[in-house]
Amino acid sequence: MPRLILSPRLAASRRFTFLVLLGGILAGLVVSGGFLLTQGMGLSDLASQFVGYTFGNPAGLDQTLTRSIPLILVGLSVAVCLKVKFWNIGVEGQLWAGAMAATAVSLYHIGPEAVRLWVMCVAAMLGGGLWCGVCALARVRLRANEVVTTLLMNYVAYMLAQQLLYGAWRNPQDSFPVSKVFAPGETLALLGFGHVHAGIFFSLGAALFCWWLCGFARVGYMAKAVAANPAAARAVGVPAGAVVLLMATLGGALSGLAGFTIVCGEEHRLTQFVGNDFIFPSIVIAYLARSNPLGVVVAAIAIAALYTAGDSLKAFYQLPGATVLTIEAILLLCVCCAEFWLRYQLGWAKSTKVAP
Amino acid sequence: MMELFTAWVGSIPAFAAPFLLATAGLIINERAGVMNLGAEGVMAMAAVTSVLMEMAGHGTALALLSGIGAGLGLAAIFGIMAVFLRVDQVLAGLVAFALGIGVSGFLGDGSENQTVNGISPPPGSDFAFLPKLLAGVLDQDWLTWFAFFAAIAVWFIIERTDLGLRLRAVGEDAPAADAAGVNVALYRFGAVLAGGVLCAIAGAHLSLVGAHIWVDGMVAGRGWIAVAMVTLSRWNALRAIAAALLFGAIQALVPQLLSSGMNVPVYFIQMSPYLATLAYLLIAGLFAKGADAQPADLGRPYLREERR
Amino acid sequence: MEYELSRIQRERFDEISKLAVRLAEVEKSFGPRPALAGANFSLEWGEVHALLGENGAGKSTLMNVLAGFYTADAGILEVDGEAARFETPAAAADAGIGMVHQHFKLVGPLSVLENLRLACARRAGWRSKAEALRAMETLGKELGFRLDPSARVDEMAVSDQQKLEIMKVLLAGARILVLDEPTAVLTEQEAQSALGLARSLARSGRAVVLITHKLRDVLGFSDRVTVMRAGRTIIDGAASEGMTAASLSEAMVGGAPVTELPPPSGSRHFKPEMLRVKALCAPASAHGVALAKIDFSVQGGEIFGIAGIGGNGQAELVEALIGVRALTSGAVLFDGVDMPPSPEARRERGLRYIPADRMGMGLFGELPLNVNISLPRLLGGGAEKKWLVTKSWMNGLARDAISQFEVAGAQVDLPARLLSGGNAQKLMLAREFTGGMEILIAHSPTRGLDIRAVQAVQTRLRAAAASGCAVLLISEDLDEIMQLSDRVAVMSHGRMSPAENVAAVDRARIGRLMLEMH
Repeated sequence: MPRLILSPRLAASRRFTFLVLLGGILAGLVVSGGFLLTQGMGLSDLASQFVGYTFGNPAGLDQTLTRSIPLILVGLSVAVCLKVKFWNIGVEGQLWAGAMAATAVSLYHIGPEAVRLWVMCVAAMLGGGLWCGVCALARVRLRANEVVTTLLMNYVAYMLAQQLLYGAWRNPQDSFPVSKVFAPGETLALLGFGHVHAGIFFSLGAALFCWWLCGFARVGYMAKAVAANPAAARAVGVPAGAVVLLMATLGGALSGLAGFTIVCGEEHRLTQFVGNDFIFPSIVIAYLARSNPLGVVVAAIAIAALYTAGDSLKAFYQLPGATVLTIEAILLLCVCCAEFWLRYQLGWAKSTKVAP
Repeated sequence: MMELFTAWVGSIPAFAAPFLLATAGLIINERAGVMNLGAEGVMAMAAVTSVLMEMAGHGTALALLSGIGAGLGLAAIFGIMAVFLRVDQVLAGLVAFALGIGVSGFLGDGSENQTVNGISPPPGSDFAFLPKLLAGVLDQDWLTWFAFFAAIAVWFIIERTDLGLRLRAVGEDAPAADAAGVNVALYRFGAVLAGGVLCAIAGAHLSLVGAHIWVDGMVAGRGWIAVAMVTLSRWNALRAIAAALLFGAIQALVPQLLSSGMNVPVYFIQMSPYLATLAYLLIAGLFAKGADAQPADLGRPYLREERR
Repeated sequence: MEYELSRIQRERFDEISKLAVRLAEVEKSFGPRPALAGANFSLEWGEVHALLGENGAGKSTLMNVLAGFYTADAGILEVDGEAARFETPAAAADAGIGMVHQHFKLVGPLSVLENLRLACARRAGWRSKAEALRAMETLGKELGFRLDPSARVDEMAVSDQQKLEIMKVLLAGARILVLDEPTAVLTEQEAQSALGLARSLARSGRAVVLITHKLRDVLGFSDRVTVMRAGRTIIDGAASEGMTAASLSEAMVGGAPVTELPPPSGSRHFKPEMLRVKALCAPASAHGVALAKIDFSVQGGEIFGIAGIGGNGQAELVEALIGVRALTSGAVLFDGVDMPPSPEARRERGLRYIPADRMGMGLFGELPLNVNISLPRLLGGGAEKKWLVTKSWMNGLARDAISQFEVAGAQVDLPARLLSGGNAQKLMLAREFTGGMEILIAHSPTRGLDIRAVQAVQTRLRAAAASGCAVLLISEDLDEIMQLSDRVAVMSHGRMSPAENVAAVDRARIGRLMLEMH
C-alpha cells in the first residue's frame, strides 16, 4: 500500500526557492483579495484601489513613497539583525529612542546650528543603536532571550516618550502633548513631489550600505558564519559576540534613523504617535525580502502601497483600520506555509513488500 | 488615603487575572517547547467575540464559550504552522498576533464602545464579616477566582502528573520523549490548544469583566507582557501568580492615582514593571539562573527522520 | 558471490521456525543517498549477535528501522515469526523491542525515576510513583545496578546513564535488546561488565544485538556476527567462533587490502619547542571533566599523541588551547611567549585546529564550500580582502583547495553539509592547512572515515610535521596514536600522564594508564 511520507529536503535550488516565494506571495494576494471581496468590494474596486491609486496617481504615489522611507529603514533593521539570527521585535522602541534623541538635540540646541540636522541624525542613530545594543549585549553576555528584551524595550521607550510629552517637552504654547516645532534648519528638505523629503536618500543610502556590508564586506561573511554555526565560528576565530553586537547595534541605529526621518521629514516635531505600528510591517518586509537589503526596498515600497490603499479603503469603503494588518498577516502566513516545501518534501514511500 | 489604598488593593486581583491566565497558558506552551508570540492576537479575538455574542443577546456563558472558541481557532492556526508545518515559532507567533488583531478589528468594526453586562462581582459583600481590606480582596467575580485556580491547576498538572511529565519531556528533549513513546507533535499541538484556551479566557476577562465593552486595541500589549512574564516566573505557574499580582498592582494603581488627582509621573510608574522584568532577566543571566529553567528544546521543531 | 551467500542464508531462514527478528532486503535512503541497499539480518532467541561494520555502513540505520525510528522504504521485517511494520518507536516497544542508542535518549533535566516513568509507566502498568520505585529497585538488585532515583540524569556519569537506559528498555518489557556501541564511552572495566551483562541477558532467554566496530567485542562476547558494508550485508549471521580478526576486518572494509601507512622515511629533525602548556587548569564543560595541572610541550616537526578514552578532558583541553575555554590557572606558551587569549589572535599566530565534531565545531553546513574555505582568510589583521569580498576570489580559493585536497564531488557553491564524511574532512584540512600554519591540533581526525580517507588524512598530518609544524594529535584510537606519534601521553579524568617516547612504551601499560589514573 503506498503511503505518503514527509522527509527533509536536502537542497532547494535557487529557482525553486524563488518560485516558492512567488507562489506564497501570489497565494497571499489571492486570499487577501477573496477576503476583501467578502467585505463588499468588487473586483474592479480592488484593481483601481491597489494598482490605480497607489501607483498611477500622483497623490497616491506621493503617500506611498513618503511612507516607504521609514519602512525601508525598519525593514533593514530587522533584516540586518536576522543575518546573525537575532530577532529584533523592538523596532518601535528603537524608532522612539531615535526620535527622542533627535528631538532632544533640537530642544536643547546641541551643536552648532549649521550642522544641527546632522547632529540630530547621529543622535538618532546612537539612540536607536543603544536601544538595540543593550539587548544584544544581554544576549551575548547573559544569554537573555532577545525576543523578550527587545519587546520590553518597546514599552520602555514608548512610556518614556509619553512621560516627556506630558512633562518636560510639552508644547508651552498650546499645552498639547507634542514638542515644539523644529527650526527650519532642523528639518529635511522637501523634494518638490508632494510630501516626499530628503529622508529617502538616507533610506536608499542605508539600503546600499547594508547591501555592501552583507554581501561584500568581511563582517557580512562573519555574520553568515555566526548564523550558520556559532560554535564553529568561534573556533575558527570569528569574534562571534562582537559580530552579533555590531549587527544588532547597526540594526537599532537603522530604526533610530527611521525615527529621525519621521520627526525631521514628516512631523517636524515629536508627536505621540511617531513610533506606532512598525513592528509587524518590519518583520513582513524583512521576511518577504529574504533579508536581502535591496529586496527590502522593493518589499517596503509594496507594503507602503498597501498602507496607501488601506487609507483610501478606510475613507471610501468604510473598511476598518485593521485591513492592512490583516492583509499583511495573510501574506506572511501564506509565504511561511509555502516555505515548508523548501525544507521538506512529501513523497510516496516505495512499495513495501509484505512478508507472506 | 486609607480608602484609596483599600480600593487599590481590592482592584488588584481583577487587573492581575488576565495576565495570570495568559501567562499560565503560555507556560503550558513553552514547557512543551513551543514559544507562542500570538497571545495578544488570541486575546483580542476572544475579547471581541465574547462582547459581540453578548450584544447579540446570547447570554454571558455562551459569550464566554464563543470567545474561547474564537481564540482556540487562532491558536490552532498557530499550532498548525509551528508544530506541523515547522515554521519558525517566532514568525508563526507574529503571524497569529497580526491575524488576531486584524480580524478582531474587522469583527468589532461598528460595535465599539457599546456596553454589555458581562461578568461582575456579586452585589454586596460575601465577606462582610472580614476586615474591609481583606473583604475587598476576596470580593471578586467568578472568572477572576477561576484565573487563580487555573494557575494552580496548571502548576499541579505540569509538575505532579504523568501528563505533565510527558509534556515536560517533550519540551526538554523531543527525541528522547519520542523514543519513550510520547507523540511529540500531538503533545505540542495539544499544549498550544490548551494554552490557547487560557489566553482566550484572558481576553474574554478583559472585555467581559474589565471593560464591559469592546474597543479596538483594548488588549493593549497584555499578551506581549505575558510572554515576558513567563520568563519572569521561570516557567512555573505558581510564581506566575506573584508576577501577575505585581503587574496587576501597578496597572490598578494608575487609575486610582489619576482619580485622586495627585500629580505623579504616571508613565514612569507604568514603565516600572517592564524595567523590573528587564532587570530580572539581566540578574538571572548574571547568576545563570534563567538558563536552567528554560525548556531546552524551546523553539526547536522536531521531525523524527531528521538526523541531528 | 554475495548473492549466492544470501540465497543460501534465506533457505536456512525458512527451516528455522521462530527467529526473534528477521530483516530481509531492507532499503532506506535519506534524500538521494542510500543508507541501506538491501540489508539482511536475523536474530535468534538466546544469542548475542554482533552487528559489525565501519561508520556509515548502515548498522545503526538498520537497527533504527527495527526499533521504529525510521521506516524502511522497502523490505521485510518479521518479529517472532510475524510480519511487522513499526511506524513509531512506541509500536516497536510494544512488540518487545528496546534500543539503547549510542547517544542516549534520556531527558537530561528530569530525574532517574521520572525518565523511567516516562518510558515505562504505560507498558509496565504502574499506577503510582511508589510502584515505579519498587519496580526500579527490584530490577536494580537483579542487575546489580545502584542508581539514585531522584538524581538529575544530566548530572550523572555516562556509565550510570547507560545503566538507566538498560533498565528503561527492560522495564518497558523488551525481550529483544539492541545496544548501539555500548562500549564506546566506557572504561575497560565498565565495558567488560556491560558486555557480560549483555551475555547474561541473552542467556536468560532474550535476544541481544550488539552494534559495534570493535573486533574485540565480537570475538569475545558474541555468538554470531553479521558484517555490513555500504548498506549491504556482507556476512550474514556466521558463528563468531570460526572468525578471525583478519577475516572480519576484510569483510568490513572490502576488497581493497588494508595497507599500513609506511613508516616515516628518513631521519626526523625536530626544531626547538614551539608549544608549551604549563600547569593548565580549566573548568569542566557541561558533561565533561575539569582539567588539573596539564603539563606538556610539543617541538616543531614532532607529532605529539594524546591517548585516552573520550570524555576524559580532551575536549576541554582542545578548547583551552584554541582559546574558547577560559583557564583557571596555568599558561599556554607559543615560542616561549604567552599565547594571546582570543581565538582569532591565536589563529593569527599560526594555530590551526581540526575538531572531533567536524560538522558541529568545524564546518558551516548551510554555507557553500567557497565561503567555508575563504572564511579564515577574511579574519584578523592580515586579512587578504579588506573592503570587497568577491565571489570570483572565493571561487578561486575553493577550486584550488578542492583540487589540491582531492575533495570528490564538490562544486564551489555546494552547501558543505552535502559532502560525505571523508570529503568533509578533506575540506576541513584544506581550510586549515593554509599558509602560516605553525601548530596543528588534530582531534580524532580520522573518526568515522573510510580507510582511504583515513590514509589521506594521516599522510597530511605527517606532511605537516615534516614541514616543521608542531602537531598535537588527540585520538581515542590507540593504533593511530602509536602509528603516527613521536611521543605519547595519556589523558584520564582531566589529568595527563608524563610524555614518553613512542618507541619505548608498552601498549599494555598505556591501556592501564587510560583506566587507572582516577
